[in-house]
Amino acid sequence: MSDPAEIVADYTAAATANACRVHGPVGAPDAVTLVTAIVAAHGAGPGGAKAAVADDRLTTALGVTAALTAAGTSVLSPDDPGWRTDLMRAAAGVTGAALAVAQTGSLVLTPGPGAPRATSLVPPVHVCLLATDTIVATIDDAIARLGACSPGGLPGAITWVGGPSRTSDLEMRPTLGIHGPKTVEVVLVEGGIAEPGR
Amino acid sequence: MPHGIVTPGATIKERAAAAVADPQLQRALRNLDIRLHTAGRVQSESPELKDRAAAIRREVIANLEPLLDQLQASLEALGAVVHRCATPEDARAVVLDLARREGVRRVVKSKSMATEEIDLADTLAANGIDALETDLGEYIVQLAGERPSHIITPVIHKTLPQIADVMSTEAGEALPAEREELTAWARTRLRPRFAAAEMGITGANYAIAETGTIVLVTNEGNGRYCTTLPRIQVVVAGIEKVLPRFADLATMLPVLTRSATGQGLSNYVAMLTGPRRPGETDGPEQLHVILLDHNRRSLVGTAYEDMLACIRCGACLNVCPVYRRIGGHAYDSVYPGPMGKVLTPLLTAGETGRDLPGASSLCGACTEACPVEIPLADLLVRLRADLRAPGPPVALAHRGPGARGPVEAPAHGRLPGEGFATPTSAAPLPASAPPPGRSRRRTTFGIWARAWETPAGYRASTAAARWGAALLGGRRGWLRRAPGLAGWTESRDLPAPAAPRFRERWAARAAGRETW
Repeated sequence: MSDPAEIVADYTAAATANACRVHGPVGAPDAVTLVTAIVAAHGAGPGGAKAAVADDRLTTALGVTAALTAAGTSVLSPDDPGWRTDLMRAAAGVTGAALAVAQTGSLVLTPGPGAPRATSLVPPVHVCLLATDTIVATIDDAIARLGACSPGGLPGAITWVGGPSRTSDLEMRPTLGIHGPKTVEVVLVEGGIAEPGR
Repeated sequence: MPHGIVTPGATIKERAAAAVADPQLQRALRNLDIRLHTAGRVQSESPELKDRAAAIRREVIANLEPLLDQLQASLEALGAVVHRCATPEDARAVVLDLARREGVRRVVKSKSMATEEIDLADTLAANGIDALETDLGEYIVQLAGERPSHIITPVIHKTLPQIADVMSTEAGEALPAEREELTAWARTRLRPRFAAAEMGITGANYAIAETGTIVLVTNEGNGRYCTTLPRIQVVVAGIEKVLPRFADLATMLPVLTRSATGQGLSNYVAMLTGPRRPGETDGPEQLHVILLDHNRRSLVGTAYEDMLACIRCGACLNVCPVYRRIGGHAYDSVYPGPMGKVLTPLLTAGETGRDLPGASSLCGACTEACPVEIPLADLLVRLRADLRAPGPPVALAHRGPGARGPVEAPAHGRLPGEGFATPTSAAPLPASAPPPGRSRRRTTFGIWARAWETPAGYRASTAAARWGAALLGGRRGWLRRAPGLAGWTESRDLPAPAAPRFRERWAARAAGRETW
């Protein structure tokens, strides 16, 4: 599983099995265009609901907020005064992932200042940017990477997301979209967006 | 820790009979088939994972005190408040005091067996605080005024139409018995409650001593809500949930989720290290961690300490032929199934659940399914003997080297369940009068045990058994009844002794008169 293309293929297969929609990989400019289109398809856009954007390493590097604003979508930023109330009504939450695990199809998010934990949780759609060179093969690799990137201690919150919120409480059959997002759209961004993690 | 809300009956035997006679329950329990082979696949696909997990958990038991000190220091360095609670009363008081001090009126809870153990939601409600269970299964159970019947899948005892009835009553309109529609209704109903709550209460699947990280493994996302929006977070964790290192999660996460639900990893894993940090928009401003003892510490160094390795995955429930037939409520204890039968009398020092260890066929399916190698069947056998005397299980008093030795009974653990002699069971009979069948059986097994202490006694007994079997008319190698063993033979056949006896054939072979 050391071949990068194989890791991306394995991640895509596992995430798809978890009911994620996986797009790409595409280059950085196309990724932003994709995010704009996905968000619009879920009802955010000119005259529509807002898109909440977390200002993390990936969304900042790719200029997601600027692109969405240019497309006429109103963006909900964590600094906005009504952030908490407006988030409950947002059409989608856009974040970047710190890394991902090919073995299980899990996104690993490290929210923090500017990137609230709730952005990937409260809106019905979670759109997540994932740089292909941050996908690791196994859970072991991810734990090692997270443990190593913490000379000053671990991030306050590390959130692993396999796919849409799910429950098996009703007669042990899986049902999607109970509390968290019903839809998870992953946009794979080709390599080279610097080091993962915070 | 009795549940209060149970399948009717004063004893496990009566409740089991009531459960078996309940056709709705029997239909609901068939859904357990979905998880029947889950644990087995973990064992066969990754035995090395199980070995590592078992070793990590034994390391925790051997170093429990220093690890708890380290965990507390790590949490306090992050700005969390640690409360060490010896009893459920202490833990309840901590949460109530905190809620009153902070003016908390609305609490959202994610599923946690430790909070069930201390009866937290009802305690808060009785004190005028709205405590909402938000795991879908727990929410339905709370609406129905019941208790969870499974430690992973709380409402496994209800069929979909029954669940729809409960939710329709709450909705004030008829909801269809469709999973998607019921789920959508609950989502809409619960969303505003998360936003309004001042306090979120969770358990902990693991707590990392090295980093002070609280780990929550969930699928629905309610656990994330409870730790994201409310300004106060309270974690209630049994002290045994501690793990030494962050790196241990590489083993302990997949072991838990594969054994619990068969998932390679659960949908959400939240690793929370301390309260909200400067510059953050959400996450709890205050983090309180309650480390609950409730007699767990008293198990360390005794024959029962392996039980502290338990990670509450529920695999032993899913494979248990007794649980699969009677469901969780018949146990009348917070923790049902094989792990509950062992844990309940231990956590309550013998005050409750004394008849639970008897409710087992000792088939050993639980021991095989356990991903951290807890010898559940052996512990059940030991508890049966230990609980004959009134008071706490006898072996709790025996600590130190050798205390963890194997149960002093045949290793296969399939001897008749009561009355065989072990060094710890040479105690007076329970004060309450046992049913007549049981005391006769006890005498029979007592004589049997004494007879087999000498070769002469053994020889005499086998000869006597053969004559006895001939008198009782055992046919085709099985006896359907035997005097002195009434009750035992009520539901089981007894193999008839072989004729000629093995020893006779062996002697004949030695003399050259018979060959195999």
